[in-house]
Amino acid sequence: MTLPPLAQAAIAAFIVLNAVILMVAYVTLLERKFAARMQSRIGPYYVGWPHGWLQPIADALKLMLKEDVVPAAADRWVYNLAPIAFLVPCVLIFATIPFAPGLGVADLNIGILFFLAVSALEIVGLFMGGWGSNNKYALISAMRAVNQIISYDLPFIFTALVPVVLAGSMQLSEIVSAQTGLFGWFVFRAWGLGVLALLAYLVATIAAENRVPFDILEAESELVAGFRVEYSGMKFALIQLGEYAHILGTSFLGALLFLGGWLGPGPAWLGPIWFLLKAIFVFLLITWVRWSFVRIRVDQILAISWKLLLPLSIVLLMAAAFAVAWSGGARV
Amino acid sequence: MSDFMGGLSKPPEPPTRSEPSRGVRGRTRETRDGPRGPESVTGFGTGTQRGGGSVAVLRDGAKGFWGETLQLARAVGRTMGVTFKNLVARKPVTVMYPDVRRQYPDRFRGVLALTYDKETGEENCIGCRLCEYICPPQVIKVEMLKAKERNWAKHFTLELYSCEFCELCVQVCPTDAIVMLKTFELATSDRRELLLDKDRLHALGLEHEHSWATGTRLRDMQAPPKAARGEGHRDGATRGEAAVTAPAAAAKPAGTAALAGAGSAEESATPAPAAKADGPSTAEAVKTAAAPPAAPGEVKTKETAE
Amino acid sequence: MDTEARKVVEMGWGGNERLVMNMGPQHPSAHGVFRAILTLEGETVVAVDAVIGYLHRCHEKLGETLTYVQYPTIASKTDYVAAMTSELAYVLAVEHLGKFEVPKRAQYLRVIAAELQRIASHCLWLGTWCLDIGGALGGGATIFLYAIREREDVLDLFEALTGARLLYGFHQVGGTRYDVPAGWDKQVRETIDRIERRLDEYEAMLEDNAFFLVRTQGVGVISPELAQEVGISGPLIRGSGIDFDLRRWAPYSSYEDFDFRVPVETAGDCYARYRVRMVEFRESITIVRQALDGLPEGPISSRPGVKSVGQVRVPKGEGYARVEGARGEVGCCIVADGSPKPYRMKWRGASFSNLAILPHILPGCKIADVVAIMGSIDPVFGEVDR
Repeated sequence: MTLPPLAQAAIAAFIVLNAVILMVAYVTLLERKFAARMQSRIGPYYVGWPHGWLQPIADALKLMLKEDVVPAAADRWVYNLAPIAFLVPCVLIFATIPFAPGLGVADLNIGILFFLAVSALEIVGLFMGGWGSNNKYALISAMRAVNQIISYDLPFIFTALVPVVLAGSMQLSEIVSAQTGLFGWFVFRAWGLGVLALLAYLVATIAAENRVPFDILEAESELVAGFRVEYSGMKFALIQLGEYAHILGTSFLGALLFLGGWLGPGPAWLGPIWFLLKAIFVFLLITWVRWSFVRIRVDQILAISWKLLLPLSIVLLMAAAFAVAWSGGARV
Repeated sequence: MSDFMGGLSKPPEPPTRSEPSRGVRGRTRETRDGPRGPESVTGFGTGTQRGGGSVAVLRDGAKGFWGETLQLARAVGRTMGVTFKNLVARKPVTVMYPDVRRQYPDRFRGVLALTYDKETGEENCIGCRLCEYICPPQVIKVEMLKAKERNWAKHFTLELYSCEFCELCVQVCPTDAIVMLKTFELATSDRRELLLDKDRLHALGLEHEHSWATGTRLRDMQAPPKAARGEGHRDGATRGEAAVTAPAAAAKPAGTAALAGAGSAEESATPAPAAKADGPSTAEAVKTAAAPPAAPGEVKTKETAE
Repeated sequence: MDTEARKVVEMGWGGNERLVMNMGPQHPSAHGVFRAILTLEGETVVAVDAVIGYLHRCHEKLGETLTYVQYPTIASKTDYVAAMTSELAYVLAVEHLGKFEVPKRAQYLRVIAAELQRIASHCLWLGTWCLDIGGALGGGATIFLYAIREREDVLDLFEALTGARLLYGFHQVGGTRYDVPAGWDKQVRETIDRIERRLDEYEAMLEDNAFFLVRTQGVGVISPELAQEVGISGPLIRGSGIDFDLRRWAPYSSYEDFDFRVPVETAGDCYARYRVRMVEFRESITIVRQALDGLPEGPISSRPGVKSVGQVRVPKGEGYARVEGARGEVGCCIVADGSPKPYRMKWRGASFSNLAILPHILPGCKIADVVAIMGSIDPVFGEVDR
């Protein structure tokens, strides 16, 4: 007996959702240890001795037990809905990512389009939180967020389209299967275009995820905590979860688009593990950048996007298209 | 600069002696003519701001798009190189405190305690209250118990929660009774636990390692050579009339000549201590008010100046 | 005397959507408790109203109630980041009033302490400033922790010297309270060598870094005229092209024995102040080396060790001593009435005077520049509010 498709999808979604949450929890631990070592520290150690293996769980428990404070003057509906509106698109992007051939919730034929469209939706939750908190810091942060997302989603999309052009498909599993072979990953191909595209993708990702050096909307030295300054307890945890889920999602996408997804030596069942390792590699790159640079100012961020990154990504996309056309559809 | 705080031993030269700052590792940085105008806008920087000046990626002028991009790439590489070096090459400096403790230096100024005499086992404290008098935050209270051979402290309380660990009480103690310990763990859930009485202080002294300092040692370390010490007590004149130490009696003879100063109009005619000692050792940037009537006004100017 | 340069900058923005935002007193980049009431036009600051006084502890009144013996231990609490500085200013003022001699060894020890303190203080400045412009969750925190790592090494030196890490009570009238412990010389040299090497790393992280440069160059420009009108001092005024360093101008405590350079930058922006301080780091290191090399033998105090509370008396009079602290000119004015306590005591805090520059340079900046400028001014609010 087979389950109806809806039930199948529900079960798959349930598994993926929980896996994502678990991964996010441990990715935060990874980042904390990584940053700590970079800063001559040790990082979480005692909870789950040694090396803090239980720290994420302890953090989650602590946040659940925290008092939930709603500012008196907040727009209650907007304020309470914002964390969910923020979290849903961040988790939803995992729906379309295939972790191995056939292993995923839905391998859409427009997978990457879905991914890009949904991941841009997080701005709604962000803006709701900033507006609904009725806090000046949050409001300024929300305004900055809108600016930044608009500026950086364009280069993000353009660079993500480079592999699409090279692979000739929008289906993510197709993009992976176009990268088979020795040095078949897109990062090695198209005469160096791939590397440039990966770099541009990383920069755009960092900006679209509001990480240092582009974290002007969190900007705790200016805006305290930005749009989430009024959130506490579980709502704060949801926002945090969403943020890291988004980062992880784009790391997976980056590994999939440029680093060949689940392709790797060894038997087929190693595929998801390769994929995970590559995603973590991308994540660590982002983290490394994050803990190395100082934040830049809002106008400079916009300048970098519009003056450097957007032209560069358009040029890259055009060059990729030209390369494909010039070779007449053969592998480039 | 107004001159009221002047009285500098030598008149300050006008600030023309501007040297270019020494560049690091051979990079010399020349001084420039003035603050950059708002017109030098290059590269990724954005437009002019009023008041805030301008933004330019590179101060040394425009390098063009490729130059700046290369510079950016190099900067990214160097910055991330430093963090990577720390990531792989350096061990964490964290001391895992409750499990591991670092080596505290001998002079560590920690919790205070009272001591027993090592030979007789008697309490060292004689209740002389010198520590009580000198304590700047006034956390020590002592009551003396008079006895035949020696005196004792009847009560000795120390409010450790207000203590600022300045070590003055240790320094003045004539019998080395009060010492500091190489421990600092004061955390408690009840503030009253830090109100230490005599027994508790003695117990602490037995419990923990003492740091180096005792009254005798500190005073010996600070003591000038014998001759200078005598001079300090009596012969103030060689050092400008007023080097007077504790016993007020000693202060009087030397003081009368020199105690002319600001404040009292009757004495105002007396000149202030005359020429400054010109040796390099005296502080030059200081001044005694020569003319007392002017003194209050001077104080005022200083206040407004700030 | 309201000259052109001194005028508070007024912004003639035509917009009507002004937003008044409080930055502080509880704010991550308030450097303590500072409240800046910013009027914003979008992201741009059009006016600033600075409120201070949240950390007021009646320090000058305390100075009247404590004797010359007691107060040096508390003087360090005005500027707790560079505690040696204010102690030195106080004892210099008393020594001048009382015409007390200071032995050469004590003077050299004071110089070593002051310069190590400058290194420690600049470490904290670098760290917190990068934290401000870089974010506590990013590269700023990394530099902060590196700088704190170095500062801790210097504090270890102070701990070996005096037993305390923050509030030392190292100076006393007539000399210093502590002599150099065994092996300290070697420890100091090792530490400053290490710090000198690490400074290269910070410069590699910051100086070539375009992200850092765009945040600092051309931001918060103080013109030389404005600097003199407002009366700022220390690295700020040297960053504005005016060579004013008390160690050079009015040497105290044997500073004339040492060979060092006073860095001057003319741009007047945050980056210039950064350069000045980075050079000062290295100059302090050379001064410490010279002082260690030339450390004379002899007593550390011209007066016997403190035995009682009224041990130091000075004649009636008024004395002012100023020293070049890490943040600028720290002055101490004492009016003595012949008793063991001053009749009146007044601090000239470098941070206080430096902070007065804010209303002149903040309008027109972005919010993000506010924290960059605040950090480059490097105020310590213990010294501002006293």
